[in-house]
Amino acid sequence: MKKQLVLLGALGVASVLGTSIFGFALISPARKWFQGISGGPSDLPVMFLVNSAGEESVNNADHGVTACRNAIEEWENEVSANLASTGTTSSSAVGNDGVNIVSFNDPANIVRNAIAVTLVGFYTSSQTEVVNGISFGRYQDTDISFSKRLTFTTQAIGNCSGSYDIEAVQTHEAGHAFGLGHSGVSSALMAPSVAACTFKRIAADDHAGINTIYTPGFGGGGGCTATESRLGSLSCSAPSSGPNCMVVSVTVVDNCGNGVSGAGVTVQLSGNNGDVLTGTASTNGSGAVSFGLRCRDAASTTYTVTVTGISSSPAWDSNDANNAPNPIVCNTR
Amino acid sequence: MRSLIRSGVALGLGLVLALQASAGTRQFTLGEILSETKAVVHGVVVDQFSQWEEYDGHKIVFTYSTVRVHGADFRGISPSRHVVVRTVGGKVGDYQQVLVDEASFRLGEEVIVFLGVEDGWLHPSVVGFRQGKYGVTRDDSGRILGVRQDAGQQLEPSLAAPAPLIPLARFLEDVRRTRRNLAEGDTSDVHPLVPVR
Repeated sequence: MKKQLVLLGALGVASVLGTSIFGFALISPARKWFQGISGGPSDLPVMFLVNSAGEESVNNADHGVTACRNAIEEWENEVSANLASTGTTSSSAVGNDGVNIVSFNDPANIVRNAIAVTLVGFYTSSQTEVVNGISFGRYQDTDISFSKRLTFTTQAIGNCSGSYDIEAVQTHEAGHAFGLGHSGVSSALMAPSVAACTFKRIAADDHAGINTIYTPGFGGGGGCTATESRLGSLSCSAPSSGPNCMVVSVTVVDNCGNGVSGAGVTVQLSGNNGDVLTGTASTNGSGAVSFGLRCRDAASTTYTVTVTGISSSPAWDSNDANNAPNPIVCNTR
Repeated sequence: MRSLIRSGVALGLGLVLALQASAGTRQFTLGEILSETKAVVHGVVVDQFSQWEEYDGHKIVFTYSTVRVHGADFRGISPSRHVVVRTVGGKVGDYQQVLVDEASFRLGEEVIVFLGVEDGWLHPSVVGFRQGKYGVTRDDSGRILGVRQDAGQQLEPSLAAPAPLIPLARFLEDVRRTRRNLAEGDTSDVHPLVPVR
């Protein structure tokens, strides 16, 4: 089975910001490290300690420890505040000890089938700090744990095969530790999932998110209002085994580049022997849907595949120049 | 719903998600969820408590939610009228821990949940974190309107935009199809194409 993994994060609450044009979201309920606004207490810079043993699968001198430290500090480049400091520790303790630790090999056995997780802690009765009109509670403890089931690498190592970029994963999890939830923008680092051998870095949407939390008076910076759907991609493959002789994959995106979930997609296959097949199904949370041509139904060897309809909100603009090439020609195995 | 779930289970369904996005995100596929699921349970949360647990230097809050089973498809967990589900995080006193994106349960909540077994855990967990848990929505007459994917752990659920309500028929059909695909060795969530004659 193709491994599909998810970086875990909070459900978005962009609605509380009144800035729904952004894809970023905050941890819910909104929490952050205090920065001494209006003479209040300050937690900055927040100290994160990376377990010095590192991640064994990272094939460099310190097994990714420096990469993780750099990843955490990448957030500091996005804001004017002195956000974080990093160090190392021999501890891999997870939980309420007032120390923010990055540990590997899932020491507390809580990561399960995620790439990594972030456990945050706070007092529900603690004071609040208001930034950009948002009332935040105060973090007390955040810990990040990496999977023991997966392998990791870095971009510098290269030759990636099935491993996850430890720097991207660390930056993502640190985003949670600073108060960000998951973004609805697929290109954002805070998007909830990342594929193996994908080397993502902080994007504009992430920048807007972190500044909404830590830069008083931040005025935003872009964003997009989705007004139409487009055919994002249309592709096909011929699996070497299994019941399908061809798999057609379709994605639907909006004009902001975000996947459109729940879109009804209809495809039609016209074979070189005259047979015709069709299918309709809804896109998943990423805006993707796949159709399988069962070998038992494949009368032709070559098919012209056409997306004939998309029902979605926002509505599909079939004439948009940014639509993916449609139709395409595919071969069965 | 009781009879409906049981009939669904009798048909070899097991109730699963249509993998709707709750944050505009890619999710675990239905096939992945099902492939790790040891039991699909429909029921009501009748008891819940959170407690600190300290082990190997860790200090973590775990929450135990007891689900009174209305209907279930037990495949790798012993059948029982009550199932205790363990989730990471919870509130003890005025201290709250949240494992970002972990499933959350509320007392009295009617749920459909996909349960797996983790090494070292005495109680099952939710497969795929919040993606493996659905809330059941009924109308005033008690008829099931559909299911809605969990919003994940949070203190203030009202802050979260609700996930789309999935009609039960579609939900069941997705499960049927994926079960069939898994049985045929196809672990990708592909939708069969239909020949046009």
